[in-house]
Amino acid sequence: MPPDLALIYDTHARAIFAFLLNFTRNDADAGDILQDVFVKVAERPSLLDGVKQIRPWLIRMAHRQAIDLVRRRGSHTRALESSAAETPLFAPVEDADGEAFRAAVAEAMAELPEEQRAVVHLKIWEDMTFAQIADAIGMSANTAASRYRYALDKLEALLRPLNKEYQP
Amino acid sequence: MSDIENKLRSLAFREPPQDIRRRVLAATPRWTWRDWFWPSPVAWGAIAAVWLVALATEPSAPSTESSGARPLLAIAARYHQGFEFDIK
Repeated sequence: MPPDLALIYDTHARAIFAFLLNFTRNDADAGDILQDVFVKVAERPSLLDGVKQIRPWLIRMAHRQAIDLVRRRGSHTRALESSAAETPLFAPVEDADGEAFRAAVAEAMAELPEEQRAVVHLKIWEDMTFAQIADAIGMSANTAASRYRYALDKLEALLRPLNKEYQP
Repeated sequence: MSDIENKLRSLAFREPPQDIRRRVLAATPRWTWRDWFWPSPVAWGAIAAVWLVALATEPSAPSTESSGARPLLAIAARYHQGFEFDIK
């Protein structure tokens, strides 16, 4: 029997899209890569043969495609960086403080290099270990840990004014 | 986990556009009979072989019917007519 693609999509698409949105900082790119990844699985279900954990496998695939896209674009990506901070990352909320904090986080994340954003995302929002992150995005666990620490320090510094006031 | 990590974790990301799901599911290949057989071709082949052997050896089995050419059909016909099978 082929895998239940609808179930796989419903279980993982939101997380993969979040990762891609945070990594590419571009709605259209995140959507395109998300679609490419799942269409590949739809067309060749045998790709999942032997895959024990689908989520890290999908993240690895999505990350590779995102890297390819960034490399293909080259300097053009830097032009897009200016609008990256304006790309809304998070679901909107009603309260003004919450919205301001989300906007500040999106802006602070845009300040990080892509690989640091990827590590922070997988650690915080996917709750992956550094070994899992290393496996998913192709770096050593030590490198992932040091990038995470460096990125978190930077985020903490950038968000300090709002962080003390904001209580979710 | 630090305060900033907890606060970041509490933020929910936006959902992917709905039309992507539709396009992904539309890319799924159509389910064919071949897909039923493909996962275990050896098993299906073995079952087919057993049937062929059974059919090939059937005429040599003792039969009370004079026709003998279609013994399975004859047995089925007798069964439907309510006759008892002569198992000796």
